[in-house]
Amino acid sequence: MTAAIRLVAAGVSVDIVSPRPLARVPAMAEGGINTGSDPDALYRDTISCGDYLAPRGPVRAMVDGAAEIIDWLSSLATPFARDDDGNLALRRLEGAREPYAAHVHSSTTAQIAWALDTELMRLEADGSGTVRRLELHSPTSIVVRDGQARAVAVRHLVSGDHSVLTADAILLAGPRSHAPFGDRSLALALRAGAELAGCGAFRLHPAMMVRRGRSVLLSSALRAEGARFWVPQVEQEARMPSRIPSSERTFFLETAHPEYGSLVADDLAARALWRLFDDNRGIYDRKRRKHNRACYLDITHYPEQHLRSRVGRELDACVPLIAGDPYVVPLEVTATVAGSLLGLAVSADHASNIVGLYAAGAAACLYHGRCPLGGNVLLADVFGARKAAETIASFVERAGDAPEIQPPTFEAPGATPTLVGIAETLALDGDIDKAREAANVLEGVDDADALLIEVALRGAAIAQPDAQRQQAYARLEDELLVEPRTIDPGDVAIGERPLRGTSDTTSECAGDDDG
Amino acid sequence: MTKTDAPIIIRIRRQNGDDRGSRRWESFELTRRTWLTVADALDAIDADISWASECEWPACGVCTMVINGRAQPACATRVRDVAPRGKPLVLEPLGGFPIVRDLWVDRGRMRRDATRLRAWPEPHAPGAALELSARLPFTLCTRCGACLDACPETHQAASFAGPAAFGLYHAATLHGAAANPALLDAGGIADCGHALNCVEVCPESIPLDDALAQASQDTTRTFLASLLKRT
Repeated sequence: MTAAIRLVAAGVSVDIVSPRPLARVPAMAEGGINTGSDPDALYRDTISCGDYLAPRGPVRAMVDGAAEIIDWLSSLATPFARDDDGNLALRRLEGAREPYAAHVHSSTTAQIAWALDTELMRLEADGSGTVRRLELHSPTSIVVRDGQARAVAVRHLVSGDHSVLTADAILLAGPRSHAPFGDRSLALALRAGAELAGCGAFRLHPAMMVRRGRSVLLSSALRAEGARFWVPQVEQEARMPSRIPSSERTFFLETAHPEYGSLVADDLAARALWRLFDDNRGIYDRKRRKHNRACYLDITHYPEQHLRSRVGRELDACVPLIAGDPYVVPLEVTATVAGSLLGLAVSADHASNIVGLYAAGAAACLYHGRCPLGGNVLLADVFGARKAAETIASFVERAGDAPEIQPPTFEAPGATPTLVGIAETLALDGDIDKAREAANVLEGVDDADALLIEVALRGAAIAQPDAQRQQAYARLEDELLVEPRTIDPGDVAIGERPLRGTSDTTSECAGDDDG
Repeated sequence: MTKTDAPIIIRIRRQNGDDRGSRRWESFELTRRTWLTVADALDAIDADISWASECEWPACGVCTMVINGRAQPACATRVRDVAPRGKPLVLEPLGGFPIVRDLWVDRGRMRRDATRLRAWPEPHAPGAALELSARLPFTLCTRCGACLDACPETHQAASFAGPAAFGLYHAATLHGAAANPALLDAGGIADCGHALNCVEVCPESIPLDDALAQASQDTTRTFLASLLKRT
C-alpha cells in the first residue's frame, strides 16, 4: 500500500493484486515501529541483532530514513502514542538496548494499516483512476520476456476468470507468512528465475502459544510493557502459577542476559527456552508425569486497568485460547519457529536480478540478517516499500527512452566476518586476541569487548550442542561403526544416484540409499 | 476432555453464490472433542464448506459469521460458550452481504460505502499535534461486517451505508475531514433507525453510537447551512 501511494504521487498508474482485502492485518505485530531518535544506536542494534549478516548500506539508509517515515505516517493520521509534551512515547523492544519504537499501545499495525488504507481510498476517489485494487485476485504467473518482467497473470478467486496485466515494472510485496513459499508470489518469482536470499533465516520466537497444532504469536508489546518469563523453582511444582510467590520463581532470561532481561533478541530468548526445556525445567504436568516444553509469560503483576489500556487487545485475544482469565493467570508459552525471513535477493534499491521485478516488505530479504530487531519489521516494510516506489518511478520514467538496462548488482551478504564466525573462533580456538581483531573489523562496533560478551553468549548457544544431542550423535556413530561398509569411490561418480541392478557394484551402493 | 462430552450437532446454512434456490440446511455431528473454537470445529467437519479464514487470531475479522444468532468471529468464539451441553451449534453467513458460497460473503460493499461517505482524513502537516485519544477506538474497525448483519436497516436492497462506514467517517472527522454533503443523500444518516444493535455486536467494542450521533449532528449542520445559502 505504501508503494502504491508513493507511486500514485509520482504519477505512475498502479494495479494492486491481492488475494485478500488490503486493509486486513493477517498477524499482530503490535510492538511498534522504530524511530530515528538515535540512528547510530539503532544501526548498531539492528546489525548486531541480525548476527552481522545484514548488508550495511541499506540498513544505514533505513535507520537514517526512519525519522521521515514516522513523520510521513503521522501526517497520514497514524495516532502514535505521545507524552504530555507531544513527543513520541517510545518503547523498548526485543534486542534493543534503548527505547526506539513509536507505538499505538496495542494496535500499532492496525492503525498504520488504517492510515494507509484511507489514504489509498482518497487517491482512488480523487486520483483520476490511476490506482486500481484487484482484491480477491491471486497471481498465477510472472511473465518474463527478453530478460525483463513484463506481465502478471491473475485469477479471480471466486469466478475463476483469468486475466493478464501488462506492466513496466512488477513489485512483490507479499505478506509475512509462516512457511517459506506460504505466499504464492515468491514461488512464482522463483519460477520466473529470480534469486532468493535468507533461505536459512528462520525466525525463532520465544512467545508462541501452541494450541491444537496451531501456533499463535504473542506480540512483543507484552514484553515491552513488562511481561517476564519464568518457571517454578521447585522441580515438580503442583501449585497453580498464580499461587507461587515471586521468591520461588526462576526468571531465567534475566539471569542469562542481565543486560536485556526478557527483552533479549528473539533468537537468543528462544534458545534459552529450549535449553531450559532440554534440562526438564519446563512446567510440570502432573497427569502426564513429565515436564511440558513450556514456561510462563507473566504480566499479571500489573493491575488490570493498566493492562487494559496498554495491551488489552493482545490479552483479550488470548481469552478463547486459554482456560483462565489472561489478566490473572500467567500465559503458558513455548519457543517455536515463527516464520521465515526468506525473500528475493534484492539490491539496495529493492531491484531483483530480473529487470523490472522488484520486491519489498516480506517478499524481500534485505534488512534483518538472521533475526529482526523488535520494531524493525514494520520500519523495514514501510521504508522498503517507499524505496522500491522511488526506484520503480525512475525506472518507469526511463523505460520509455532508454531500452538497455543493466541488471543490478548485490552487496553480498555474509562477505564480512560474521558474529557466528567470531563465536566459533572464540569457542574453538579460545583465542581472544584473534576474536577481538575480527570484532574490530566489523562496522558499527564501538566497543569490541562489549561485542565479545555478546559473542560469548551467542557462541555458547551455537558451538555447544546440548548434552542429550551429543549423546545421540555418539550413539549414532557407534551404530554406524558396527557394520562398516566399503564403497569403491572409483565406480560411482559423486553426486550421481546409481540405478538399481545395472551392475554388481552399483547395486551394492544402492543398498545404502534404498535399503 | 472428560466423559461428559456429548456429541455436538452443527447446523450450517449453505448456498451456492446468488442462487437462492440452492439454499439448504445441513447437519453435521462431531463426536471427538478435539476442538475448542468454532473455527476448529469447522476445520474438523469432513465436508467442503466454504468459509473465510485468515489470521486464526481475532485480528482480521474475515471469519465473522452468525453463530447461534449473533455475529461473531469464529476463531475467537468457544463452542462451549455458545452451544453448551447438548445444544446445537447453528452457523449462518452474515446477513446484508452477497453470499459467495456457504459461510463466505463478499464484503466489498463496506469499502464502497466508506468511499461514498469520503471517510478519510485530510493529510496533515508532519508533526502537527492532534487530539487522538478520542479517535483510537474507531480506527480499530476490522470491517468484519458484524454491525451490518445486526443492523435492521441494512439488508441487500437498502442503500443505508451501515454503521461501520459511519465509524470510519467519524474517525476521519475527528481528524479534521470536512462534513460531507453525501450524508444527506439516500442511504445517509437519515436511514439510521437507532436500533444500536451495532454497538452490541461489535467485536472490537467500538462506540458506534457516538459516531452515528456525530454524523447526525453534521448532517443537521450541513442542511441548515445549505438552507441559509439558498436564501
